[in-house]
Amino acid sequence: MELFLDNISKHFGKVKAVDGVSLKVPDGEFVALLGPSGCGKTTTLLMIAGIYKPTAGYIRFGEKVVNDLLPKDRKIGMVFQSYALYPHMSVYENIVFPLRLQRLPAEQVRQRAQKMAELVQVQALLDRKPGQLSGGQQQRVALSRALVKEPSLLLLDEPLSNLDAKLRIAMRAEIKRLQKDLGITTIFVTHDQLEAMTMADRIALFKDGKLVAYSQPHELYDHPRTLFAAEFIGSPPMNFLRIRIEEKDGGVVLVGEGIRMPLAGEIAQKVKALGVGREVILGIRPEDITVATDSGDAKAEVYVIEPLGRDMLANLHVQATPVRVLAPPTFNAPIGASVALTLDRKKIHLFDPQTEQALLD
Amino acid sequence: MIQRLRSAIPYILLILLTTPILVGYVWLIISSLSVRTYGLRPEGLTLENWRFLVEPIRSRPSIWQVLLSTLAFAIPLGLLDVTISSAAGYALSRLRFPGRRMFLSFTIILHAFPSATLLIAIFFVLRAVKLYDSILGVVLVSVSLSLPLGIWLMKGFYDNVSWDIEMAALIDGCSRLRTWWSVVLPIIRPGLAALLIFSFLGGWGAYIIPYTFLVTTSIQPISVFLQSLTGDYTFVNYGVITAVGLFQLVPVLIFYLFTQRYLMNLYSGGMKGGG
Repeated sequence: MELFLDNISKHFGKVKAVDGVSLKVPDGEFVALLGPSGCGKTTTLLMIAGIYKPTAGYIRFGEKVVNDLLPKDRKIGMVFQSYALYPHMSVYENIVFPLRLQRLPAEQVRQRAQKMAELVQVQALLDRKPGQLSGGQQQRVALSRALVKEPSLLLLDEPLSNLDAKLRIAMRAEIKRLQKDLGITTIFVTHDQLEAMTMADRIALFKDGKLVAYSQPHELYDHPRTLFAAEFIGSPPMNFLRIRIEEKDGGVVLVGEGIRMPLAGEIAQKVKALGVGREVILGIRPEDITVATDSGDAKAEVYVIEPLGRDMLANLHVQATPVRVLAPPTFNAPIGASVALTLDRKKIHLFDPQTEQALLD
Repeated sequence: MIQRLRSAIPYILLILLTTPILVGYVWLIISSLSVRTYGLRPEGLTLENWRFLVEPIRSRPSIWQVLLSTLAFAIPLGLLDVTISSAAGYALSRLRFPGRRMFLSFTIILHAFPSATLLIAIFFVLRAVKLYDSILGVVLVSVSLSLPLGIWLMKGFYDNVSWDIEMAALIDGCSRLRTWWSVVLPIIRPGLAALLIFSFLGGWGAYIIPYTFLVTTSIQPISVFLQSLTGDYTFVNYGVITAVGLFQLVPVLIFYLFTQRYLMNLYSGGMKGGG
C-alpha cells in the first residue's frame, strides 16, 4: 500500500513539532524516519498511526484520505520502543489480542497466532508473561502482535534502542529480512543513522520538524545536499574544514589553516566556477583521507589513535580543527607526532557556510 | 560493643512505643473472658461476656443483625468508592478537559476537610432528600467523604501506566472505553484491590457518620452498637464491651495478617513487573 504525506503539520500550542512534511512511500518499501531527538519523526509516525491528528495537511493510504480515520480502522501494526506488551496477558494472549477484537473464529485465530509465533521464533514462549521475557524476546513478541492482523502498513518506533549492541545487529538483519519476505510497506523511526543506512530502502531525514532530505542511503551518503545531512550520516562522521578557493598558476588551490590542496582536471574547473576567493566548507569522510609521513595536502598532529580491529581511527588535529581518519590497521604513530594527510579528490564535498547547501553536484 | 548498642536502639524504641498498644490488646482479650479485671489481673474467668453471640443483649438487635447492617454499609461503600474513583481517576489522568487543574486541587482540599464540621449541613441535606436514618443515606455521605482520597490514589496508579500500552491497544483495535476496561484496569488491579480493601475496612469501623445519621437500632453498624453498650443506664460491663470490641476487631486483624506484605508493597508505590 502506498503512503502519502501531503504537507502535514502538527502544532502543540505554539510549538511546531512537524512543519510542512510531504513524502511518498511506494508500496512494499522500507522507509526510515531519521533525525536527532525532538526533530518530529515520532510525531509524524504517530500521525500516520492515527494517534495524533494533523493540524494541517493530509495523510493518504493509497487514494484514501485517512486524517479522520481511527487507529483501529487503519489496518496498521505498530511496534513501540518500550514494546508495550500487555503485562497481565500471556505471550499468546498478547499476540491474539488484535484478532480477538476483530471477532475472528477461534480456529483461525489459533492458526494465525501459531504462524506468527513461528515466524519470529517465539513459539516456545507462548505461555509466559511479558515480565518473564528478555528484551529481545519481548521485541519479537511485539513484532508478531503487530503483524498478526496482516496489516497494510507496519510502523516501528525505535524498536532496537533498548537492545544490547550484539542483539541489535542480529535483529536489524531479522527485521529487514522479514520485511522483504512479507513485502509490507514499513516506516521505521530511529535516531541511529547506521540503523537507517543498513535497513532502509529510503531515508527521510528530519530536522526541527522539517523534512530536509529524502533519498536512498547511498545517495545520502555519497551526495549529501546539505551540511546537516553530510554531518549526520556516516560513522565516524564527515570532517569539515574551512577553506578558501584560490587560484595559482592557472590552477585551483584550496587553502586553509594547515591545508594547501591543489586541484587539477575536471574537479578544478568545477571549483573554480564557484568563485575564486570564496570561503567555503570542505567536507571529507574519514575513509577518504590517507595518512603519510612525508608530504600531502595537510599537516596534522596526532591527538589519539583508537584501534577498531579492522581499521585504526586516528583522531588528529589540523591546526585547531579536529579531523578523524580511518587508517589501515598497521598505522601507528605516537601522540603529538606530525603526519601528512592526502585527500581523495573524487570524494570532496563543498558547502556554502551561510546557506549550508552543497556546492558540487 | 558500641555497634551492638547502636543497632539495638531501633528495637528499644519500637518496643517502648508498641508496648502500651500491646498491653491494651492483651487487656481486651483478658477482659472479654473475665467478670472483672484489676489492671491486667482477671477476677473470675467466664464466657458469659460472649453470650451476645447467641442471645441478644436486652432490647437490642442481635449481633448478627448488627453484623448484617455493618456489611450492608461497608460493602456498598467499598464498591461505590472503587467504581467512582477508578472512572474519575482515569479521566483526571488521561483526558484533557476544561477545569481539570482546578478539579485536581479541589480534590486535595476536600480530602483535608474535617468532616465533622459538615455534620449539621449533611443532616439538612439528608432530611431534604428523605434519606435520613437510612443505610443508603450514610453510604452516600461516606462515599462522598472518602472519594477525594480514592480518586487521588487511582489517578496515581493510572499515571504509572505507560501511554504506549494504551496506544498499542488503540492500534490493535480497541475503542477508548474498551482500552480502559480490558487493558488498563487489569493492569491496575492491585490498586483497585487496595482501594476496595481500605474503603471496606473504613466502612467496617465507621462511627461518626452512622452514629449521627442512623437512629433505628436495627440498621446501626457495629461501632454504633458498641457505643450504645457504654451508654447503658446500668453500670458499664467492660467484659461485654471488650468482647463485642474483639468481635469487631478480630476479622480485620486476621485479614491484615494474611495480606500484610501484599498491601505494604502496593501502598509504598504502585505496581511493578511486566512491560
